[in-house]
Amino acid sequence: MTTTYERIAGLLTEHLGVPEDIIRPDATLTDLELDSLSIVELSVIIQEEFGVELSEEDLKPTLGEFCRIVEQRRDGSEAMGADSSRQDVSTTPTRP
Amino acid sequence: MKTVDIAVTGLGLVTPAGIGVQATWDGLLSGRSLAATDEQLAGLPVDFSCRVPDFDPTARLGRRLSWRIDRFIQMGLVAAREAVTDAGWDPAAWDGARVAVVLGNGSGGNDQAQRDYELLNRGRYKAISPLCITRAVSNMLAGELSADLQALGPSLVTSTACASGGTAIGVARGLLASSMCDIVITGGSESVCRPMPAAGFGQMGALSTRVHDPAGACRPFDADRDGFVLGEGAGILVLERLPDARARNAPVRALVAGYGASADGYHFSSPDPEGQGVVRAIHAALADAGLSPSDIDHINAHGTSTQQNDLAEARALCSVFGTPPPVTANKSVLGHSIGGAGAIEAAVTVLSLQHRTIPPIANLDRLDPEIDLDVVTKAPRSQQLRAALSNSIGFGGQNAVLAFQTP
Repeated sequence: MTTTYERIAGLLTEHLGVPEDIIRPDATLTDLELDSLSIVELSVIIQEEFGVELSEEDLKPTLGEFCRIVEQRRDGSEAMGADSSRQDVSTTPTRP
Repeated sequence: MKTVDIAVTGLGLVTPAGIGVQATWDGLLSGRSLAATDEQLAGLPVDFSCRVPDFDPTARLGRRLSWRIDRFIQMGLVAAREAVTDAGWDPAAWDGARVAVVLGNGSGGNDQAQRDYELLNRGRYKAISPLCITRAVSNMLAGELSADLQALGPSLVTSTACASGGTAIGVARGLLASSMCDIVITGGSESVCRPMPAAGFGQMGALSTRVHDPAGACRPFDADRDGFVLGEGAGILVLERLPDARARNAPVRALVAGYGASADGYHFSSPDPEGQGVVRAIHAALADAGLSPSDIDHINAHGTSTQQNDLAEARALCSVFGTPPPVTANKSVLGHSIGGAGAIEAAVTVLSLQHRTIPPIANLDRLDPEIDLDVVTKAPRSQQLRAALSNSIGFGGQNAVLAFQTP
C-alpha cells in the first residue's frame, strides 16, 4: 500500500513539477521551491485527494511532518465518518 | 508618413499544422483543411475544431511552468522561444530593459474555468485553484513571456477580438518607431477549442455547422460557406529597427511597412456590409507605409468563411483596389484562433514575401457569385511579390491592417 508520503511526493512531482531528487522528508515547502500560491494549490489538491482541509500553519513544517498531519486528520475524519472536503458545500443549490 | 523601417528578424509559430514555422508553411502549401472532430467538444452541436496536434507543454516547457498556465500562454511561450532563436538573440545576452512584449489575445484562457465555475456554483470555494485567475487572464500572456525571456521593457496585451494579433504588431511597430524600445516580441496566441467558445460562438450563428464534413467546413469566399471553424495557435514576430538589424548582420525576413486601424461603428457583431471600416484601415496602412494600392501584390485576407465577413471584406477590397491582387485566406486550413489568427497570418504574409509564394485557400470550389476576387485555390501560386497586406477584422467592428514589404 502506498504511504501518504509517497502519494504526496507523487502529487508534488506530477502536478506541481517539483523535481524528484529534491523531495525528502526533511525538506520544507520552501526547500521544494514552492511559492505561496503553489502551496495553496497543494492544499487544494490534498483536500481533493485525501478529504483533509489544511491551514497555512499545517503547511509550515517539513514535508515528513506535514504528511503525518494529513494522516492524522484523515484517520480522525474517517473515524467520525465525515468527509471534510465536502463540508463547505452549500446546501442551497445556485441552479435549478 | 513612414519615418523608420521596421524589420522582421524572427518568426515562431504553433498552429494546427504543427509546431514550428516550417510545419505551418508546409501545411498551408498543401491546401487542405486541418479541421477534425474534437473529442473535447463531444456532445456539443458543433463538435469539431482545428487543434494543434501533439502539443506536449510539459515536455516543451517543464512541468514547473506548464502546470500553472493555460494553453494559450503555453503556445505563446513555445512560439516566442522559436522566434527569438530565429532572430539570433540570446535572452541572456540582450539588454532586457530595451525589449518590449506586445501580444494579442481576445478572451484569455479557458482550460480550467469550467471546472472552477462548477465548484463555485456548488459553494465549494476552498476547492477552487488559487491559480484560476493568473493562468487564464489575457494580460498574463505578455506577463509570462516577459518573465520567461527577461524582456523587461513595456509589456502589454492588445484585445480587439479576432484582430488582436494584428493590432499587437501595429502597436509594437509604433513602440519601435518612437524609440520606446529596441526590440519587440509581438504577435498573439489563443485557443478556442473548448466547450464554452463552441457553445457561445455556435449560439451566435458564427460557426460552420458542417459536422458531417469538418474538413470541408471552412471555405472562405466559397458560395457554400456557412461559418468559421474554431482553432488555436500562436504566432510571434521579433521586430527591430532596420538599421539595428543591419548593424548586427541579422537576416531580415521582411519589413513591417505600415499599420492602419479603424472601427466600423456599425454593429456589435456584424461587419459593416460595405466594409467601410476595413477600407479606412487599408487606406491608413497604405498611407503609413507610403504605398499606393498599385504597389500591393497580394492580400492575406481575414477570410473567416462567414457569409457576412467574406462579402464585406471582398467589397472593401474591390472598393480600394478596383481589381484586387491575388488573395489567400489561411483560416481555410488552420481555422480561427481569434487572438492568434492575425499574428499567424502576418507571419504567413512575411513567409509569402520571402518565398514569393501564395498558399492556396482550401475548399474554395465555387467562388461566391457576388464576390469578384482573384482567389488562389488548389495549388500555391508563385510570383514576384514586393508588398502585401494582412487584414484582421474583429467582432466589435475593430479592424487592423498591416502592410509588409520585401527588405
